[in-house]
Amino acid sequence: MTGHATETGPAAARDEVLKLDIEEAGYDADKTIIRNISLRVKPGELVGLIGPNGAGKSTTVKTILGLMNHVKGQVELGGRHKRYAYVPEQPVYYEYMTLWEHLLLAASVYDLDESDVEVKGERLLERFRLTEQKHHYPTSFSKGMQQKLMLIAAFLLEPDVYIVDEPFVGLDPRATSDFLELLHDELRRGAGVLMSTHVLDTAEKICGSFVLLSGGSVVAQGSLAQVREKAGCGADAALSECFLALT
Amino acid sequence: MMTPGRLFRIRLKFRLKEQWKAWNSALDWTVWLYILVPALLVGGGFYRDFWLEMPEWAEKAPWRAGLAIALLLPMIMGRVRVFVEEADRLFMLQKKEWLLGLKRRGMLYTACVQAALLLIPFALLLPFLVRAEGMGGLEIVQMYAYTWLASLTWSIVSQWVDLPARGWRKWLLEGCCLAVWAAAYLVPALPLGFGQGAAVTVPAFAVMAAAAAASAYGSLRSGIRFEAEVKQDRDVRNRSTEFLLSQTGNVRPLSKRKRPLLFRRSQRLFKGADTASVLAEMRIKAFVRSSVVRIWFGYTSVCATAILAAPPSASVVLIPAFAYVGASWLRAQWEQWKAEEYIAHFGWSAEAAAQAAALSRFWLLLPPLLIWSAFAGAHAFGLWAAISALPVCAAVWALLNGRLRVGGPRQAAFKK
Repeated sequence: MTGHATETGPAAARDEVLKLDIEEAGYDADKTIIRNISLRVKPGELVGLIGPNGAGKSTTVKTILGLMNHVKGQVELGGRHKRYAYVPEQPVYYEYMTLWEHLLLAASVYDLDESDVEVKGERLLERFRLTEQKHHYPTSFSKGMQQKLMLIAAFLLEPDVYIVDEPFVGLDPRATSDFLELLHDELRRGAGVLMSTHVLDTAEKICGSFVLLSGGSVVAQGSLAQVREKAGCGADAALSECFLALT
Repeated sequence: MMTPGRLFRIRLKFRLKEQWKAWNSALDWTVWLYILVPALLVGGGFYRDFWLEMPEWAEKAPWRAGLAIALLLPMIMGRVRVFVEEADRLFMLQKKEWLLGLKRRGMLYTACVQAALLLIPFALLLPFLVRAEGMGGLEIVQMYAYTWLASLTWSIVSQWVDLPARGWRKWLLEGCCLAVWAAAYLVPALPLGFGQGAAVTVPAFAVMAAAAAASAYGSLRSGIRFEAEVKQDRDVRNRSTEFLLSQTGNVRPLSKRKRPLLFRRSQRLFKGADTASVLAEMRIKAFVRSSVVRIWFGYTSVCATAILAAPPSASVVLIPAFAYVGASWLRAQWEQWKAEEYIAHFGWSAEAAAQAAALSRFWLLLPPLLIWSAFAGAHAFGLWAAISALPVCAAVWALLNGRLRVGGPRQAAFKK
């Protein structure tokens, strides 16, 4: 398939919230960046997408979002609403909208019930300690606060799958802990998470499985034990050791 | 709750406010007082005079053809505003109807803006079109409407069509498309066109209107190429704002290049590694790579024209005066550059900064001085004088700056 890649298909029937089978993808047909990437995210599963700089993690994420011009392959969303929420590495926001208006816009776009949004939005603001900044412009926020806005907007949507790109950048330890707690709540709800990250020690602790990319292709995939085996590392090797051995 | 229509109105209001602020910054009361009001009064007087009596020189000029050809460039540069923004990737990538709702309204807005903007050149040239070219009201309206249709068509097509080629093939295809469009616009718009009556007018309008409608339909039907269209919209939005604010020094447009056009391999300019030489080198590179260099070219050209227009003997006064004004402007630019965050971060000594300012001013003013001197020489004594003026000018400028010392060490010289 070439063009916008994200489709809603029979992935739900196979109990997957995200199914990705990419033969090749890139900005142009003659400049492909990633090749032969297949991955599955099941409800309640947190998959870590890891790899060195330039390995193709961002291109994989963009392919899922339907942002790449040239895609040969399939992206299928499953779950109840076939809905994803995307948390970008660099916060993006509207300079002319307050924090609360961002949440209202997200709710409007997804046709969420306004009173539910009100309650859930307030709760999330409180959780991330942004209640006082509810009616402030995000331009006045620190990078960490802007990142919290991205997380709040994503959690508000209650999607079937989260596509999270380097979520820990800019977050203080408290916010990181809040984020992980909420993420676990969402996993318990049945959402799936695909998380692209460089923070390997945290990824090792929280991810159920991994997809390790290098040079635009998958070099290892599966549980930590399977990645260790592929890397030829010992049974107690850390993910970072496997990463160094494979990339 | 928000709707695509409401979101569009919020964005439009915000962007218009932004434009208004940029215009306000560029056109402060001094500009109004000293430039715009006198220009409007003088221009208004001339405009009235042209209506009352057309000068002989104007009777012979090809106003209609000139207008059609002059409008080509702004028409080629025109793009459709889609009002889709980077942050839309957060919520709207799965809701294409929102993105398309914004794009549809953006197209309508673009059509209105282009119609309004095209009124300006037509209104300005109206006396010439009526009195010198003898065009009737209907013919002018036809030409205006056709120009608007052609402009809109190109804006949509150039934004929508992603040609199936790369590199030189893409350039070639783009050139061919542009040539076809320009011919389709110019042939009816030129004097042999609409003046010939319905035989030309009807098919021309029918073809251009069909092209505009088909391209608008195709563009909306193909959805949104999110990253490309967001970037294009941002570029169009920032084009005028950046230009206006760069004139006031409030903002430096960010370079979109991977590598600079000049000094592509970070070459050294001076042999010396002392602080002043390095700082001057950075200053010169920053200047020639920035957009202000266009103002510098403009200033040099205007002054060169003034030298040719004035009596030859006036160059003796004009060149030092132009150099003085240019040096003052360079000084102001230097101060602004030195205050930039990265440069100000280092603790430059006052002495090194002053030396660097003098050194960069010397080299930046040298090319305009050489050009002005050559023009003055040619104007007064012919071509040979232009060539001989060059070393004389360079020597005088070096002496004035203390850069020509017989037997003494040079502080910094251009690296070979």
